[in-house]
Amino acid sequence: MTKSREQMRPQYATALPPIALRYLHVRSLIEISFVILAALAVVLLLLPEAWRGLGAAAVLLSGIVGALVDLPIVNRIIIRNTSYEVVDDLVRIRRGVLVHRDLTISAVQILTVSIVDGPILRRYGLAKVHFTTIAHTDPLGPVTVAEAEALRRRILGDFDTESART
Amino acid sequence: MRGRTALKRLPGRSVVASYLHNFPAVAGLVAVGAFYSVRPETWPGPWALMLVGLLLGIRLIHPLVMWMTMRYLITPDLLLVEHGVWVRRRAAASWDTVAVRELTQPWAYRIFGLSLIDLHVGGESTEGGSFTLSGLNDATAASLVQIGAAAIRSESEPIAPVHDPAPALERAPGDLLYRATARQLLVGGLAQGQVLVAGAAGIYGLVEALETVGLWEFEAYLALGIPLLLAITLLATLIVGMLATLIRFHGFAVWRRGDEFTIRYGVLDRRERVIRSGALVGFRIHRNMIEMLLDRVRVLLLTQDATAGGRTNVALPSLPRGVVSMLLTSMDEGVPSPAILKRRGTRVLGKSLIVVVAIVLLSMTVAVALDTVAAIPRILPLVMAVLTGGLALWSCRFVFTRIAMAGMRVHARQHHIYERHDIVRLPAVHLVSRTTVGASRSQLYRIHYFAGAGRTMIAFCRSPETSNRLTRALAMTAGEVANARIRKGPGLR
Repeated sequence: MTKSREQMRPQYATALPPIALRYLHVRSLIEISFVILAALAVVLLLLPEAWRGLGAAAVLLSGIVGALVDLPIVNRIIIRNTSYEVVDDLVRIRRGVLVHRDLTISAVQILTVSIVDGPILRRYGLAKVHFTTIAHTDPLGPVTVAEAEALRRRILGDFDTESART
Repeated sequence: MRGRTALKRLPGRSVVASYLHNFPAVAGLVAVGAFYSVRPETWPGPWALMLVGLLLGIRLIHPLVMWMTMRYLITPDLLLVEHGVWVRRRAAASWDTVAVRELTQPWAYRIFGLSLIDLHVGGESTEGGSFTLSGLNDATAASLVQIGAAAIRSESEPIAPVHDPAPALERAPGDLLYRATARQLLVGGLAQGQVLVAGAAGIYGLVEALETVGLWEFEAYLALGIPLLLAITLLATLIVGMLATLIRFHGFAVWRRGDEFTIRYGVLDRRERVIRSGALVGFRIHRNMIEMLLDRVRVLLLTQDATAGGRTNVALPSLPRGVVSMLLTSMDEGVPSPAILKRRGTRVLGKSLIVVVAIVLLSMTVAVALDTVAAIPRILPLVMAVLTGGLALWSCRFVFTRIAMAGMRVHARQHHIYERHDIVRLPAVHLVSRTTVGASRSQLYRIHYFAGAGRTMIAFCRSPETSNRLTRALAMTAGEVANARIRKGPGLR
């Protein structure tokens, strides 16, 4: 890759923690299970009796294929290709493989920083960080709770006084 | 950061106050429940009792659950609120970002010496930017409002809010920079298309009024013939439109006093806006093909106006290019003169005409190609031609937009069927996102800035250097904005 390409798609200093992969696996399995259950309900309720077995088998097979793609491939790609850093009064986040999205937020312009942890995230000691800005931004994470609080402290707590001294 | 133990619950009596506040609703639900238990045959029967039971349960449980799960922390620097049972959310905001503060005292809360406080960051519509504390001590709530007031909009803030209109409209508010004559306003209105819009609206209103009193019968006027009728309508539209433009912008003038600029215009509804030069976020300079022909441009002054105040950014009428150039230099001395103000309109008209011809040809090609297919409805070629034209016009906005950095400003320039140049000061830029597909060098930029509301510049760019310069400049201005936001409030210990 050329130097200019590297400049265009930088990997930032901090990656998501390895345990985030386990969270994504669990979430994927839950989501796939819900989809399979919903699809099975549709198959059993709407298809003629003769087709139900075949329909149910197709749904289960699709679910298994989905899990085989999601767990070892997609989730790993998400984890490997998400990085972030807070330097020079900027929050920088990079995501994506095929479609690269690079976000630079002026830290002083961030209105609020929220830390959200659902039951699965809590199980692994993880949380997601939501930055409230004048435009919609996707949450960062999952990161460890300590890292989430450190990010919030850095952006909201000490930011002004540090900047004022420099 | 303080641990979770530092977070406080709302006073216990806020639960009692909440129950008291909800009492009328609970009493109503109990009455409905009693009615349905006596007359179960009334529609919807047992479902009503279930619904009433559910609502009663929510009314009874909600205040207690809210009190048990919500915690807050108030420091001189920030507000932190944690809530949620299943999914816990901890939101924090620094005081300098709190733009709207509302303190209310419902009767039930007043009895217990409590207040409700609503805080909104970044205006009223920012997603996730609202905080509600239901049942703070009156003294704490009042201190909290004071902290917020002291922290925001301090004197050192570089982008000051726009002043309210001055009461004395008659005296000259400084040195006169420009005063438009009636002829200039009429030509400007005609070039801008306002004359046609205002005229059409005026004619429509007139016809409606005449029809209501029985003085208008369309069939009678048809006898004049369609061409003559169209000519009369167009002439009447122009006359009414010119009058409307003249009345709206009559006496348009700009004054300067120190770093303040006053813009005054209007006959019936006289308007005056005082703008401090520091309040300017930037400019949007625009000219359509008629304005190119007449060598005029119009300017939208992008200011820090709060949308909550119901005020919009200031749109100046279409003015001669030289006048706009002079006004821009006066209002923002650091702003480099953009290309749109350097080149005569007639010199760039050719490109706009080529784009128009290309779009028309593309639409016609689609229509002709579809017209040869016999199996489709006859209206479809026309519909597809219009859609193609619209899509091509929409695409022009991204394909022909170029962004660049000059000094501490971002410039976005586009030229297709019209020419537009946006100039935005970097301290107003909040975030920048770049999207790239695959190995392509082209990047789609979205630059979000605040000018009364969140606004976005969207453009393609192939130069990685632009990205680096933008990022460096953003980091530099972030420090400046932060320096200007040192809190001055006494704080709440």
